[in-house]
Amino acid sequence: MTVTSFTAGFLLTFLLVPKVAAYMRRKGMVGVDVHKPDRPAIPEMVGLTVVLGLTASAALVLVLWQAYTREFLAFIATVLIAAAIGAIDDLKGLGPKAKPLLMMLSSVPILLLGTYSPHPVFPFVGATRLTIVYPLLLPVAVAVTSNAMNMADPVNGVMSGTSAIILTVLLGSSVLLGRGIGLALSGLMLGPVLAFFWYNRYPSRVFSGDVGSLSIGAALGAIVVMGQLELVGIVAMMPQVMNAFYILSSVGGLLEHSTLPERPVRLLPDGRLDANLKPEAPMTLTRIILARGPRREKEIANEFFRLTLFSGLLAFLTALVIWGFR
Amino acid sequence: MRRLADLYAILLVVWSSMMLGLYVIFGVVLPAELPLDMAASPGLLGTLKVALGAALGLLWLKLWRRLTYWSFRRAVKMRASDS
Repeated sequence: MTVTSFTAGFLLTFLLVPKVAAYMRRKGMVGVDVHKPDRPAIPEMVGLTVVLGLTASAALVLVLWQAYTREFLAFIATVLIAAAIGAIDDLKGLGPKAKPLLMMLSSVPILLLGTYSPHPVFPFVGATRLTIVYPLLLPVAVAVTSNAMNMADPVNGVMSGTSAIILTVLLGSSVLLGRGIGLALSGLMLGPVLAFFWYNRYPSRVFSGDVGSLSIGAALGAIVVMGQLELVGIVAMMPQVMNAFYILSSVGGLLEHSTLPERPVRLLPDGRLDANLKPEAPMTLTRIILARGPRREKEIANEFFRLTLFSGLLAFLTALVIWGFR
Repeated sequence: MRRLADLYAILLVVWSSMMLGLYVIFGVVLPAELPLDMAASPGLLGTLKVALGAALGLLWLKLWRRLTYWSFRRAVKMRASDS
């Protein structure tokens, strides 16, 4: 089932991306790649293909196997709500405070269909009982993961590439811990994300837009919650959570890009990126990576992948500890 | 990777302190039974436990932030001395 959903999602998304990209270009939905000296115009909102590929392969799985029906429906509904919010943000623009608040709504299907367990498992202590607190924290968790992924798209291919790494870790941890739904959902999501990464990697031929990053982030949150992989997910997403935390703590809250006092990085005439060393510039992971000196965009993307691989390793170690103390 | 050794070290510190903190919160603070008259007011005891857990969480975030800013300033200093 996982292999079929992965393959179907991958192929469908891989075939859809060029068509959706051409459509977006025709409609004038393009974004400027500000980190290139020639500032090329790249088709925006192509992350929509991940949502389409995911939904179609989920429908195929439901028709062929009728397994995890309630969980798949909750998952798809969560991703579709997140995609709708992302599309509104791409087309009309949502305020910096409205976006995270609205993203909490995307967890409603999980709550309504009861596809969560209020007994998160932690290392050394095992399953805990959080029957009252868990449903209250669930919307916050999905809002955090979706907005963290939305903020962690600083250079070409980073959001989709790091998402693929995180999904692989969640998939491996699900196998280790025997979480069938975690395995099914990670496999379902990994195919479309990998196919999208093929086009989104440096130098990007397509951009995901908020429709892509918010829905991928919400999907990660949903997998973590429904697969009872809470701590593994937090550890795997540490670089993204770190990045969001640094931005929020350095600018003192949620602000729109255009209202930031300074940009965190600057483009040099030779095409390399450098950290903005002015104290009022927001702290981001990219700025920290560039603190020792300027680097090429591809090198920065590779550094993000290495950091996510490292946190993925720690996440798998966390899963091993949980498994060992069962 | 050597250029970013600090960042990897921060990830390691954050991860290990999180594991330790979760053990302290869920393994020690929450199951703790106090030999006081507080047993008569379990609501108050529960609130105190949650407040202590939250305080530990905030302390952890503060540690994380401090480490990052220290590492950033250190990297900028090293960059200045390199050039």
